Amino acid sequence: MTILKRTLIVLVFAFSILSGSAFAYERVVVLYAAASPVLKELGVSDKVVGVTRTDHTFRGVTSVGSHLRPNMELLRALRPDLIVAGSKRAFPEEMSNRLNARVFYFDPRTLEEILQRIKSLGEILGAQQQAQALIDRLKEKLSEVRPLEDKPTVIYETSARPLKVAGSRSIITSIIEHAGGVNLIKVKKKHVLISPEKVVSLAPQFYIYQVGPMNKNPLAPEKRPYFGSLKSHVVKVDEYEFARPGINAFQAVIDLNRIFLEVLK
Amino acid sequence: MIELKEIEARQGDFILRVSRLRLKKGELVAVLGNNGSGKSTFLSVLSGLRGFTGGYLLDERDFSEYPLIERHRIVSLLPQHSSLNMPFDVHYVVLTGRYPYTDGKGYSSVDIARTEETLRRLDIYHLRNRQFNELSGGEKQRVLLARVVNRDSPVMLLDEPLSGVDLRHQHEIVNLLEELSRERLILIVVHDITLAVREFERFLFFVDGTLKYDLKKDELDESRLSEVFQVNIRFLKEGNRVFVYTDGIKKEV
Amino acid sequence: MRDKSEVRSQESDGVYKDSSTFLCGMKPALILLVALLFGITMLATLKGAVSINLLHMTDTERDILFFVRLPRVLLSGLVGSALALSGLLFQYVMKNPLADSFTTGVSASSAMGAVVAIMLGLGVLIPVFALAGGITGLVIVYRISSVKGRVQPITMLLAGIVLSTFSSATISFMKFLSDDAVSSIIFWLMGGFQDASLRKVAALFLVVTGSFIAVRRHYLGLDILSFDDTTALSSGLRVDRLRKEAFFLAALLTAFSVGYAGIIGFVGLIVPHVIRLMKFVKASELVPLSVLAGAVFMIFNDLISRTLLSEGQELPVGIITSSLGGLFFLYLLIKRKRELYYFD
Repeated sequence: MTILKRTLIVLVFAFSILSGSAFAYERVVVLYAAASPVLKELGVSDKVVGVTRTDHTFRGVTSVGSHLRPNMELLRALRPDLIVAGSKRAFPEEMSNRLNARVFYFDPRTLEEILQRIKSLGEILGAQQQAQALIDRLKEKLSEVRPLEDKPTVIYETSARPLKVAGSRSIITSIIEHAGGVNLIKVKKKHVLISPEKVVSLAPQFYIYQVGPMNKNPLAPEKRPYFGSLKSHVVKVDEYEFARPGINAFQAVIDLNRIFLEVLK
Repeated sequence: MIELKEIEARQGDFILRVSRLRLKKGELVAVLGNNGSGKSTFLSVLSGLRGFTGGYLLDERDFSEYPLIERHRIVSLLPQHSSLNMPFDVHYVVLTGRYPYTDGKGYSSVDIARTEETLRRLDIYHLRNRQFNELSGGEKQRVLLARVVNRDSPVMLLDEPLSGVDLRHQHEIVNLLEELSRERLILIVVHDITLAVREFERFLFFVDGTLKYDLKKDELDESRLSEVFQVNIRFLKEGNRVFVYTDGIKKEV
Repeated sequence: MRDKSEVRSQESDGVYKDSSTFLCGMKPALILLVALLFGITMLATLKGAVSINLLHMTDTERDILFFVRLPRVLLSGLVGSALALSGLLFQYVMKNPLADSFTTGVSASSAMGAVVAIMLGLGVLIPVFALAGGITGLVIVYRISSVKGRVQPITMLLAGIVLSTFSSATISFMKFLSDDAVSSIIFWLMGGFQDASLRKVAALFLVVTGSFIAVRRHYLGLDILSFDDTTALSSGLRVDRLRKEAFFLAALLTAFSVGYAGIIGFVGLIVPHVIRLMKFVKASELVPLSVLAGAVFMIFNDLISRTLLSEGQELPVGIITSSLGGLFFLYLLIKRKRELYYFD
């Protein structure tokens, strides 16, 4: 009896895996804009049927609203079979169950994880070769990084008001490390609300602040009252390039490495 | 002290009319009339809280010439209903009656001394540390009266100061007011005609917003009173005391 | 001779006092609060994410102490005072224990102004926009609630609630329009003192001191405002003028606080109530004690918000004010609810 039951379970399990991998996803909705360039590189643009409002990677694709609050009617009308989402918090699994679609979480915290996610996406979309080619290209890109004698210390500001900096769980820490530097903020969070005095006392060699939707028109750090005694090199970067865990992150590494080299020369 | 000429005050459909009236220092005047006859409106006109047309001389000077604070030093008013939404103690409530004499920042030692005196005079000294809002209705009324008495103003307008007050304290208050009125003009709205007839010398009767009669004590008679109150009023004289009783609703003729 | 000197001392204070009815007198309370304020200011200046050895300060540490930490401590104290005073004034004007900068809609409309500034990418102008928003809110509520030049307390409260709701809805809508700026807006609405500077401290100091001096002139009038209008008017008080002035000062204090530190709820409601529950009910006691207690409370909250977590991490100060303040308030309410307030 138990043997029969077990066999049945194994059979069902095997079948579901087989059918899962054999099933080629045809209708993809991307709810996390950082993943869109990856899909484009994988050559599956024609399979993408829906994106978020701010995502302009693909042409002629339905916008389903914001990444935190997509319009469920629009989503359902698109009849997706795969949803690429940023995190479980942004798009819980129950929601994809209601849509009868598989959900793929594109949530890398390091460059290595980005490569991994690219590989997985290539597998489930039947584009393994393109994925491998992209991975090779990105790895090659990383080889452009020039070595530095000392590791420059860095603090990266994600938002000025309130003052938040990138913690160790942010993709930015990985970008900094690959560029040859070290993030002085070790807190195990993506964004860390921090005391300005802590930043001053850590005295990083580089103070990088991003400008973008998270940090709209911030006051330049050297003009802020609490940074009067900050002696770091202040660098302004684009949020889209640095803070998004996608293909862009590799270019960010190269750019940051170049900045390090120039300043430290 | 007070001279009124062709006074008119409007509020919606209601019009208060006083064609001519002279009130002197040293008088204790009862203001009588049915509900809505204009007694309270009359007092609020006299204290300057309500706009009016006509002539109002206070101490032979036009009322409008007095600065606001000066008016309230001369004329004090006990409103018919008062409320307080802070847990002040009795002493402080009475002390606030001295407000027109202050600079707005604090009360002087004179104000405090007067307050002590007033508290004793109105027999509420023992209540002085109690919270005003925890007192009974009659006690509250005595405290509010004390607040007005504490102003020590030449003209005092009291709207039903005796309502809810027990008999003993009614007597004490009336005695006190008689004493105070020697140096002042005091107007009192009362509903108890027996008490009014017994204790006061001059009577103002309001009917439908108009000052109808201004009578001395010996001018009072059954028919005029019956007309004003629309009930049959009878006098019962016993020696030089007069008792007033009512005998059914007056039929319109 | 002796009597006379006693009389003079009462006169020079200009304030009536009778300590027998209180748990403790005004003077001890005042001294206690001043000492507390001094102590908490010292503690908050010495404590922080970075530990500083006062005897051997490096240049950086000196900079941190004087240009980062001290302005922050001072700003938080001043915001605490401003919110406590504005809450108290709103309560007097509206004769309502629930009135404060939130219920009148002035906080929310200030915040709306600030959020508009964020949305337009004019982060630098946030205080200006907050002020504009707050005063617009004030004018709207005032216009709606005044009939023939008279402010109707109940109508004002209703108008305030409507304005608050409308402002919150507008803020939510703006949040919706820009997903990415969400964290910025949300945090900003919770308030904080990171952006403190000596310039802001100086500006707020002027506003708070100016308001306090203006309110001092009306101590007795504010008390008389607690009576019904007829009683107050017949006491010779210019009721509407005082209401207008108090309302304006309260709005000014709120707008500056929101502009410099975001919305920090609860302080304006809780601080005056705590002082009242300690049996200080006259304006001459309530106002100075609330101003001091507001500063102590806020400095303490900010100290916790920036030292509770390790590695220089901070907590939004609103979380601390609401939880600490809420618990303490609840305790007092349960203990002494009967004495809290009287309604007609």
